[in-house]
Amino acid sequence: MSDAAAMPAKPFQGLRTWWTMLRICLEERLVYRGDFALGTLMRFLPIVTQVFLWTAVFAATSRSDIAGYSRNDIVAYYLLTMLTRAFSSMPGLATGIARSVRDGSVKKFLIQPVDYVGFLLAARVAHKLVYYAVAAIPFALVFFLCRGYFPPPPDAVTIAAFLLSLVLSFLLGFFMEAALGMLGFWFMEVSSIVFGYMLVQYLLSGHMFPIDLLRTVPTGVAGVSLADVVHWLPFEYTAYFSSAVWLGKVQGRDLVAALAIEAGWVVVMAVACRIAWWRGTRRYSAFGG
Amino acid sequence: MRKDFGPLGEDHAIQIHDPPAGVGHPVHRQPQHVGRIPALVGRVGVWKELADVAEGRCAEEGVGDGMEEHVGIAVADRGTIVRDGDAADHQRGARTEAVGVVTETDSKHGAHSSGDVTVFPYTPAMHNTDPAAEPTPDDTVIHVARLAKEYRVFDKPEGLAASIRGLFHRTSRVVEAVKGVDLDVGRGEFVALLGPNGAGKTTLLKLLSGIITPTRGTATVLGHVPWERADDFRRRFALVMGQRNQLWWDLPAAESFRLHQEIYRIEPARFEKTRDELVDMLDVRRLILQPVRELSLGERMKLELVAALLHEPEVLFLDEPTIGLDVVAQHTIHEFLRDVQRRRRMTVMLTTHYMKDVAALCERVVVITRGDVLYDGSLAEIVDRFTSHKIVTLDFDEAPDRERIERFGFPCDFRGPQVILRIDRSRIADALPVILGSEGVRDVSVEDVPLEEIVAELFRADSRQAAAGASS
Amino acid sequence: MTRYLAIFLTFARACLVRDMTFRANFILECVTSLGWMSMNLAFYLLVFTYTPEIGKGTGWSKEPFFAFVATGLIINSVVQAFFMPSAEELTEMVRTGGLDAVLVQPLDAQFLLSLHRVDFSSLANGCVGLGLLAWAVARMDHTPPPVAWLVYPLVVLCGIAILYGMVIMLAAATIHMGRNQSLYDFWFYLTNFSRYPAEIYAGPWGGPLRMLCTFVIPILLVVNVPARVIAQPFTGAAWGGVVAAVIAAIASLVVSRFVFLRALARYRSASS
Repeated sequence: MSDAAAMPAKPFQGLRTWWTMLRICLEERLVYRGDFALGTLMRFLPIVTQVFLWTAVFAATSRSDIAGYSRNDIVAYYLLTMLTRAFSSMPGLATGIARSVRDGSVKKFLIQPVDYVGFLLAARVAHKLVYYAVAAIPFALVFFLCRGYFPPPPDAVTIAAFLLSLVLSFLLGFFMEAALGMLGFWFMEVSSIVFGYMLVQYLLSGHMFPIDLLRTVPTGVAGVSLADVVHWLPFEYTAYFSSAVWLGKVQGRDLVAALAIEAGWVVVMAVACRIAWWRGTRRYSAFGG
Repeated sequence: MRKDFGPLGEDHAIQIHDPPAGVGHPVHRQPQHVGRIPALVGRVGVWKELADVAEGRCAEEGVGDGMEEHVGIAVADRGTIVRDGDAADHQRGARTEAVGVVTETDSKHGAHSSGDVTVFPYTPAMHNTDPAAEPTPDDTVIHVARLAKEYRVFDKPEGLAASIRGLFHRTSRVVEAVKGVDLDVGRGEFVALLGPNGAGKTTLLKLLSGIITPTRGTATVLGHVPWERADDFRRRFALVMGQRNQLWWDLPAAESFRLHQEIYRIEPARFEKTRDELVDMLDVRRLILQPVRELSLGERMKLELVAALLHEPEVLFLDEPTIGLDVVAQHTIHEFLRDVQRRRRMTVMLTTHYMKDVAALCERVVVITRGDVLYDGSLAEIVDRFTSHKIVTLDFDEAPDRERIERFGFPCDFRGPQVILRIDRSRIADALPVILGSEGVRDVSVEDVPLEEIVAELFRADSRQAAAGASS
Repeated sequence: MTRYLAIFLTFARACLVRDMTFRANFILECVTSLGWMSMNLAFYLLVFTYTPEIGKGTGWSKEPFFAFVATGLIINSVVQAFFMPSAEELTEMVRTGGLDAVLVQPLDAQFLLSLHRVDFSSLANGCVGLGLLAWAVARMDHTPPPVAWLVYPLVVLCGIAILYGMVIMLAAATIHMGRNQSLYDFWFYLTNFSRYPAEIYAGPWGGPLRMLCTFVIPILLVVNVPARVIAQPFTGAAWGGVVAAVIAAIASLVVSRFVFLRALARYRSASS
């Protein structure tokens, strides 16, 4: 990890620092477990509405499927999206970075021998681990109750691709939001930018509906639908993609290509994040905050 | 603004003699102001310092000139009162700690008459020449009886394993923030609540302003039970918290004032008069049209005070009003508060960690530690009761011989030509002449232990006692 | 009463002055909330490219459904503009002790705490909602009778009152818990149920859920009753909904008042 790079002299030292950071974050998160449990439980509420909405839609339409999704597929899709979002969503990351720049608390990372991005990553991993620990039970319960909506489990390769896509979606989500937060070095108020990002993200990540629904939306260029454009953007890899993989909507060469695009976006965002940090801190120290 | 002896005897003021050059005066501050309060004559309560010295010198040199030289009275009639502290002290906001009353005069020296002086502890009642202003027992504004507030706090365990366990089981304990406080405050009193952090001062203020409900006990403020939060009650007091901003952050204070006018239903004419008066007293007229966020902390605090006083509250609670302010702003606020309090005969209760606030403002001090009242009385008395010694500073022409000074047997601190001695109060009258007799003394001052030190010692003693109590 | 109105106007004026001081921010907020709304509208449009109706035979075809959405926008924008900002700030006030300052003022605490901040930018959605309503109603198969237009504002107010009561109860929970960052999330999830026509809650799970959200937490009455009045043929059955909404509104106000006063009595104030 980046911390190991920051402290090359003692390899285990870096690891230990990282572990301590992780532990402190875990403890900090556990203090707010009340909010945590409540939040996890409530996160499933919108799905309930979505299930009923789509059931009503399927009841009224004469089609047997919408963009290749049966009603059960749609329900399974929303549930899987919840799982993917549990990996890729980074609540408060961008605004947190921007705030630390604005109120000057980022200074301590300029002084202390700790890499800021590494620290944030550790904190986020900790946050996620605790979240999974608390959320596993409600997740398992919901998935078990809704097992009837799911198609039979896919083969091992697909499952492996699914897991890989989840890890990548975590990294992508992290670096994308972190890079966004680094804009705080240049703009006083990033909350509007973050909100705009969230809007686009919500629409294009597939959180709202399967991206396949956009196949019928033309872009003006012949033969290219909106779904094709979104395919090349990073957003759909934070929600739609993993769910589609599990449901077998993306297979074979397409799957490999999509994973490559996702990995490419992770690298791009990580580099963008680094560059933003370097230039940002240089600007910060030059202008004295 | 008259900030010294109040309405007392300006007309009886008499000329002051400079002390004779080269003579050290045993009295560290000269009585200067002379006035007459016949009612005081006959009251007993000799204040040690002045009395000891005065009597000591008088016995030695005989009644007469000694007084004049050492106490500094030039002309004095029977019943004339003198007060300690010089004008500069009072400019700086020091309190009058004692007054002396001339009980016997000898007029054979003509203009240089002199006499016996009996010295009394200063009490706030001496300020009030208006007989109606005297606090009377039935004019109790705040009455507190066995008031207690308990909190349940959840332990936050340290360590990962413990915090995971905490997921399922939380341990809690009961903390007594205030335990059985009894207190009565009369109209027009200016009371300081002192105590270390977490002693329960702020909790007490919150109880008295009705923000929180007590676990046990009763309290009435202006005849109301505060936590019933009757509008009638809330219109008659104000609470100012030094650490919290109550004005609208993004708007000029004038807007907040208008809102106050609406909330407290202040008549427009009266509102404008009061506002202008307060604003002028603090000299902040030009600030009230500026957004509050652009103001400095001190300026903001002044405007907070104006806002709080707009509805002319009868009781004012101040929670650390001078926290974080510079000396100038502190001083302005002291003068302002004292002036308004006197003018309106407001009852003020103040918590603070700055002894300057206390010395400048409060006649009465209530010390609270661990939710209990440890001391309740006058500021002068706290010095009297809780200090065993005085600080004597000697200025020599040149750095003195250490051994010679140490021979006196008092703890001393050498700072070049200056020596600071801590002398037991009971021995000071005997010790001083001897010390002053030593070679090369250029100047001397006798002072009380600083208030900060006394209060800190008080807190420490209490926590030691608590520790002893816990271990036994 | 006039005093309270005067105070409220002072609050509103102060907030407007503040918003105008930070004009750019104000406009950005308008734009973002409009963006959020248009995204949702785009989703509904997309859904209607695949189906003629939401639920078979429910009458919620495209235009009536958009009238439904418009009603929801109007009601929610009023709540977001007048009640939510104060309630949200309450969380912060409890944490920092700012609530103390409110409690010592001779005013009804509920009034002060639920109305002291107005977010004018949230009204942008409501304006779009009005426009959308006009558009949808004009294109519907039937025209609402005059009585529907008379009842509509009343039931919209009832919807607002129901939501107001819920905001107050959430605020009371905030005071009780000392801190609650999930307040806004919870609000989102709760109102989420009111976003679609009640008819979608059908079947073995939907039925009981519909009952729960109608009679226990009357969230389904908030938008559904007014939307039905305007977007569906106004029959005798509509009056049942109107009566239910009025009763729910009164109950919501009374219960929330009670809960709020209880929470205030137990307020423990931030230690300082």
